[in-house]
Amino acid sequence: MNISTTWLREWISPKVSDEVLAEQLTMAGLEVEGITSVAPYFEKVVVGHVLSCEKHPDADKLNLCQVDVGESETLQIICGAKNIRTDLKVIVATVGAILPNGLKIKKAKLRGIESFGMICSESELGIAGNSEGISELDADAPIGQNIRKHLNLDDNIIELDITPNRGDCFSVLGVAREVSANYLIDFELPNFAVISQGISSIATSVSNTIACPKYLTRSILGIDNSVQTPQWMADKLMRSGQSLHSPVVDITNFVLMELGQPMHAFDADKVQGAIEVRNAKSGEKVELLNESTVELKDDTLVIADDNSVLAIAGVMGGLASATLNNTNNILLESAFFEPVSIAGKARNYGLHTESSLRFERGVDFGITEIAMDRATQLIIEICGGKASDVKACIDKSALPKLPAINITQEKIQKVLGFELDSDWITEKFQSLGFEINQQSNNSWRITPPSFRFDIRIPADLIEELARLYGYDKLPVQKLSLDANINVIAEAQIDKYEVMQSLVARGYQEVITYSFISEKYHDLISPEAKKIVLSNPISAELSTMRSSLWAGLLQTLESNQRRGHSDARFFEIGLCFAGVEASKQSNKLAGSITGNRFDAQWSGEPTPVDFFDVKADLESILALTGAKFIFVAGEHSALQKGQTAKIVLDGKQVGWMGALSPVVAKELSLPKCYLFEINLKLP
Amino acid sequence: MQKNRLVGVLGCGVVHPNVLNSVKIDSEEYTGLAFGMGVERLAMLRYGVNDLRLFFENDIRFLKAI
Repeated sequence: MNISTTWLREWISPKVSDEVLAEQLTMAGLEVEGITSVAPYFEKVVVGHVLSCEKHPDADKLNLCQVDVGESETLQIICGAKNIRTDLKVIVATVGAILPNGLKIKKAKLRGIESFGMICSESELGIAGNSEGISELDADAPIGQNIRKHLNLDDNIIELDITPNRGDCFSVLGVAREVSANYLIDFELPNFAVISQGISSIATSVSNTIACPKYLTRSILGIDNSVQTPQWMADKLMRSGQSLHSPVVDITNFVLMELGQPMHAFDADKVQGAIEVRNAKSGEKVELLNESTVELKDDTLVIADDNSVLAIAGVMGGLASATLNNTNNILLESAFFEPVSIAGKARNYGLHTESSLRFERGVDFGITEIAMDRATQLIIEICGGKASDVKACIDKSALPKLPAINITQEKIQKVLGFELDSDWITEKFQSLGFEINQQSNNSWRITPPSFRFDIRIPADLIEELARLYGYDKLPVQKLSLDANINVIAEAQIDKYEVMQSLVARGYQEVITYSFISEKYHDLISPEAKKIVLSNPISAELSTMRSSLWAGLLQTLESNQRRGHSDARFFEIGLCFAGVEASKQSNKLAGSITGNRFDAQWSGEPTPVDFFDVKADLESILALTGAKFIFVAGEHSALQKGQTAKIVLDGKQVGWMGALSPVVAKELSLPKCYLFEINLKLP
Repeated sequence: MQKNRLVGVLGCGVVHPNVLNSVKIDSEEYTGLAFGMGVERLAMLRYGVNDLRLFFENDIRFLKAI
């Protein structure tokens, strides 16, 4: 979520820079992904008023303007933009200004006439905006005002990466609460007083109160939705990544960003009869605001009137009842939908909206009324109209329960490993909006606020204390442990010794996935137990490997496709003969292909053969000093007549040989030689 | 890898009581710590590799280069 720091600071403003504030939020668990300024640095750019605008006597496309920038003398400026005209309020870069693109504004002569500045577009100032011609400012823009101040450009946007447990932070209010808890600064929710009169003409009922414990509506009649959304609101919305629509939609989006309450406005004249919040009937259809038509399932909560579905609850409104610029009467909705009943519904229909995101994570069920009043107040202020009383359908028993949680100083200390001051704990609990029901010197009984769906057990309270204390400030304690050095018996050889000697013989070590495709399993070790994953990432990664050869052959194959077929690879890794830990064992495997040596002048390149891989294997077996013997054998993945079992003390410990031509053909592989032995790692 | 941006290399934390309870460890009596470091992530920083999957692709040119 993106949030403008000037917007946040209207609510709460600690006396630190935006960068320090962002760092503090990150350290307290609300990760700031990035912080960017709204406009790059520039100065000496002001609001100007075009007093006169005439054609340049010697140039068709240029205009000669007299511009008032609030100084005693007007400025003569030559401008080539098509939309320049008398009485326009414009952005003027005065002499001495340096624009973000490096352009220095100097006194200049254009076709014999002097020009004292430049009239700019927003894009020339490095800010997004329409760059067709010059920017046209509001008619009431104060002449001579610094443009940074006028367009509120000294603003930063903080990009927050909000973890799934902190749905309450998806709003300015939510982040303000976090800032309040971090800096111990109080802030008050403003009072959004609304004068309402009369009653709504639209009856409302909820038939599934489990999914919708709280549903509020209010009619606002006689609005003018064709007016312009005020600039201050447009700036805030755009800086939060919201696009602009009509004033009513912009206001509901504004309340969503400000208070975290998703809202919806229906065109009241398009509602037929009464509103009902119910589950969809299987097969019912609705055309949504994004102009897609979806067929609904009966597990989906919808808002409907007597005739049809108007909206998917908490996800998206329908097109038929949408507000337009000519809408006069609206029905405003503010509701609490239960997270589990909304979760996954949007995705089922291929949708993802700001509204569904918030309802799935949990919207504060204590803000429903406040948001309704806030939106009403803004609509009346901007679009006019008269508001009705709020019609509320509330099933208190279906609202989330807020169980009291007991926590003691002893428990906190046990988990965190050090003692926090009791007064500090109390202060932090209060700053987080937790209600302290009972308190002694070293114990608290806490009820979490309605916006914190993640606070349910004592550990959740301890987490809050730890993050506000600062994970980076937790005292460091050295762990004491007995340093028992792992003794390696002389008869055992170190794994690294084996790796080093293979590398010395021209091998590359690889690490491949423990999951392989069923195809590889069936080709390489059909006799081994096939362990198939119940929920694989893909068919290519669906089976636990019983041999390292699968990964090695895949490595060979991909390298060969890139034209590298002279290669020796080895891997040491776990193989699985069963799911129990005792059925898992470490193996060492290797593969060689291509030519014995790189091409050189002294002879023809010779391909590797059985004796090369045998020599490599013998060299590492020799490290152990034990006597291994090679016995002719048969293996489904290896070529007959070129296969050997490796035997130690009468027990088989591995295989080596040439890859079977059948398997090689099936996997499009060149001639290659393989070995694999069981390891007993210390 | 961008400068001045945080990269998680070692996730760690106190084990959730539900996890302990589900393996029949009394979470009232015991607490657990869990931490794990991805060696690939550090290797990425060390060698300036920007895609973790390269470590598992085993392209011989890549293997020889690092």
